[in-house]
Amino acid sequence: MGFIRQVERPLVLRALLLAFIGYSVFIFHGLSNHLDPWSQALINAAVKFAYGKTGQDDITVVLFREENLAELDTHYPVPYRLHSDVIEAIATYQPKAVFVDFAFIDNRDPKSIGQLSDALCTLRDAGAAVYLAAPLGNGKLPSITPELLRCAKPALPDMDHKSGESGVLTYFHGRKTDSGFVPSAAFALAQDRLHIDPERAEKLEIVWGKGVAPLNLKWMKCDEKTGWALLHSTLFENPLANRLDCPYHRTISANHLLNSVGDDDIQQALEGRTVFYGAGFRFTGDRVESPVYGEMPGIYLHTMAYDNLLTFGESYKRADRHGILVRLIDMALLLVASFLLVFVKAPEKTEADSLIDFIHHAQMIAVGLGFVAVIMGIAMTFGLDIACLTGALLYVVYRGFIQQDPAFLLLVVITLGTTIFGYYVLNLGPRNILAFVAFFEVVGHFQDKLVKKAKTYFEFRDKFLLQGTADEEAGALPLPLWDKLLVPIFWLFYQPDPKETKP
Amino acid sequence: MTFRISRMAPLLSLALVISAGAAETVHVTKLRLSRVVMYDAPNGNAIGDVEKEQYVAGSWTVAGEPQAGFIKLSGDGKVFWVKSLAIDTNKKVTTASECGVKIGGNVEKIGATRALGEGCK
Repeated sequence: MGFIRQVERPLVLRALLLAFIGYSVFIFHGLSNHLDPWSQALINAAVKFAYGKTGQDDITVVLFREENLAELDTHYPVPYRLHSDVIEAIATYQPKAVFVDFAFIDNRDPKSIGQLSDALCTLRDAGAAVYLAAPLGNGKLPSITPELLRCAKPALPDMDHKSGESGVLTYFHGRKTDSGFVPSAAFALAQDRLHIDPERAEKLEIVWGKGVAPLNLKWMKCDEKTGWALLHSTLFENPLANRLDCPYHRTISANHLLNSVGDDDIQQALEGRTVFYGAGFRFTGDRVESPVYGEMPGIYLHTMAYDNLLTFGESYKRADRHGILVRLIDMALLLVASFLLVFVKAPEKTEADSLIDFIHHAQMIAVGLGFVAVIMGIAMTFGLDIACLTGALLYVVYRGFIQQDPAFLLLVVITLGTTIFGYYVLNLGPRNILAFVAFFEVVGHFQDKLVKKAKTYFEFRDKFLLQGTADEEAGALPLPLWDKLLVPIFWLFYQPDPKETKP
Repeated sequence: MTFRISRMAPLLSLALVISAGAAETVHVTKLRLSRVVMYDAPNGNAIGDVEKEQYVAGSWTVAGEPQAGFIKLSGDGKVFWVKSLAIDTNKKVTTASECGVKIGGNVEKIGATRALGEGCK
């Protein structure tokens, strides 16, 4: 036992050093918190197939588009009378709930306000729970006339900042104000329907379902890049350059709603649904950018947040990733990765052997590469998601089964395991899987380099530093300071035979 | 025989036009609002109203396409406009011809504030 300890001590120390470096980069620099575009692309692909359709079926957006102003013979800002018409039209289809994402903070004539308030009451009387956007000003509710809140509840339309390169978005649960706690739009809806208490809730990290509602395909331009165009934009920009331009949730325009009669599409879109009424006007700044979709009208932030609450319920994904348990899991994962790097080694080959192997198997390698190119070519015709998942799978097969690196396979399994654990048990958003794998690959590469350097250094040291001192035992020359500093470090990566050298 | 067919041709054409016209007629099947106001034009003056219960299904027909949220109807020997949201019909009638619309994607950013339209106090 003592012998084992003696032999493995430098390896254990090396693993701890690697874990420390990894932890410093991951935790203090925050790599594990921020999904890079490639990691996000993989997550998007996985979410596409794993995320439920509950919310997509339930939610409909009525969007007042810029072009609708002319089509409805009106101007910007939309008169309250026309908002009243839209709300009354929605009410006739008896939706389950409606969130109106217009901030009616300006003073208007009492007749218009009365008309709008009546429309909101009509909606409530039709059986819908009604919520009205109420942005805060200086800690108090803004000057929305109380008459508009006669039949509607106030809800915050706040947007949080995006985090990380891939633009992950978080969503407030609400805020305390001078007049009590005001929930955000999605949490206000969830409070009544799912009985989630917004005041006790935590900030939500939005998981973006991927796909386009079938109704949207009828009237929107929703081409997704495939094949060469996909390859080009992925290589020359990044995979997130291929974001979707069509919304996930069923959408009808205000023009469609008001300038149509006897339309089954409208009936199916509104009857018994949760409706979000918002706008997509130019130069008004109400836009949201997500990792999955191109810049969209801000209403889609609220729909996706509510979709998450419908899909996950109380287990919605928490935005706070700085809890002690999260840090411990990251630490444990890095420690495992470091120990795998040090103790579980792939079959070692000299560079000469590798070259000979390459020459012997050149034909097979060429066929293999051709096969991979064909698979990737086919995958790319199915779009980015399939291409990402196929690419990742091919890499794992190559590293695990062709290069026969069991440590890599183990790491992939453990990383996926902890990610699934974090997602389903700790209710955290998707983690940066690629960062852990990249850490393993990069550190593994440098470890090999350092082992070679350490071996070279000890050979050099034997020949040029220690030979003279061995002859003159009594008057031995002191070893230079840099040697005393370098030896303990290199000793972690290579231990020379004690008979040949002395540390 | 040729003579007979040529003589019947106008009659056949007329019959076809009549049947096609009948197929195109769109009836108002029900009122969606408890009280529907009739106007003399889109966004025009109110000229009357009808209670939901009073309306007899099919007594109004669509006389024109929707315009600015209103639709032209004819019934009881009158032509009038109602809000499109107020009625239901036996056939879809729409002027919303939105297609190939792009909802997402980057929009131009400007360093100016959008000016308000008319009618704001």
